[in-house]
Amino acid sequence: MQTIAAREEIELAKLPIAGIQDVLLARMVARQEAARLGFAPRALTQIATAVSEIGRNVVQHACASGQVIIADQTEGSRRGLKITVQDTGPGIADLDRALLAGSPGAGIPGSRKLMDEFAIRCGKGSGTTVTMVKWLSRE
Amino acid sequence: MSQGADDYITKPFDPDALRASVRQRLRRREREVAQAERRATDTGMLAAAALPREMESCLVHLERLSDALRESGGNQQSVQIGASVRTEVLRLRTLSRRLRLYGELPSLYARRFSDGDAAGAVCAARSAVETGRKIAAQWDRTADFAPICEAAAVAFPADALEVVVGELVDNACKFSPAGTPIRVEVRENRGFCNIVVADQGCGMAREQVRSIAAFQQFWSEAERPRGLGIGLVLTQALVRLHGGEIAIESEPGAGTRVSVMAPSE
Repeated sequence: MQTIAAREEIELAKLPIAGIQDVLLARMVARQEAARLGFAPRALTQIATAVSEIGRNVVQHACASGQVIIADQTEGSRRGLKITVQDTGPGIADLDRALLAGSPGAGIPGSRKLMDEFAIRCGKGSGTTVTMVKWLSRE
Repeated sequence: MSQGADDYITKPFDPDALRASVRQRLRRREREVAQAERRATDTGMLAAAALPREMESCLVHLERLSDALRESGGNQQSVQIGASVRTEVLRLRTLSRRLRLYGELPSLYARRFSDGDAAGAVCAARSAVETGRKIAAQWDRTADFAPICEAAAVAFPADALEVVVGELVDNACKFSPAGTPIRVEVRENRGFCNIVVADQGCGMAREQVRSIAAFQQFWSEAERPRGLGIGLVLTQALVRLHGGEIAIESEPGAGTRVSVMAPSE
């Protein structure tokens, strides 16, 4: 019988997102934390880009405030960086369309492509939570 | 009810069937409009990428002709015409390069979502002021140019910064009356370099600003921002491609303030 390792996480940073400069700060902190965990330069850039795209959605599309939580995540022998972006906006009206590569802005499908795991949770009027994980390569 | 199987409805029909049929036709129409807009965008981007190459050889030829006129030793009028032609050639060359860059944006953006942003390079922050000064001089607005530089470095490639500040100051000169200030402020704040270009010109309506901020035309079915030129769209794309952020504040009749933020190192 195969056992599934439990995931554990340690919060590294929690940053408010209220303006475009906060997006830049979140990007910078995510990059720094990823570098500390030992991610390769290409992965650092991919993580930073995903944080920019999803963080910018909070400010520009949701027109709301929110927060970015950066955590060190482990699952068995693997380790990664988990980014959670939460906002208090109106949610995404058409989630299926937002996940399509040709959708407006394309930040969501683009970020999904950059990260190893990507999930969106949103309800009508109850904000949006995007969770992304990038695992450290075992090479 | 005459254009194909998807709008066929058997008679007699009830209101629900009619509503469903109308909905189906509307959806189809929406898809057709989106496809047409996407094709128009693709064609425009292809033309933007290809035209500059065609123009380049003509520009080289024109530049040589203008040099020949200036150096011909002929009368003063010929020399002046040569100088004017050269100025216009240089402006066309700048426009041609911008157009080419604009045409390349879709592929640059596509690469961004496989490799990530092109962040990494660092240049001197004062180069933003130097670029602004050069553009203001081209518009004969040197007296209106009001720079402040309180930062040492900005994490941005020099050539991209030149395009960004060049476009912003060019817009500021174009859309504000002579005699009003064109501010270029470069400041460092908590590890970030903030470059502000502000004018007291005609400004933009909120919808115009929003359409630039949405930056949708390269990959979406959404309506393209019309009549805005490529300057601000190109600027915003370049800033994001290199890991920065941009904020545009504008009010019709009061002016525009564009703030470019990037890490300072």
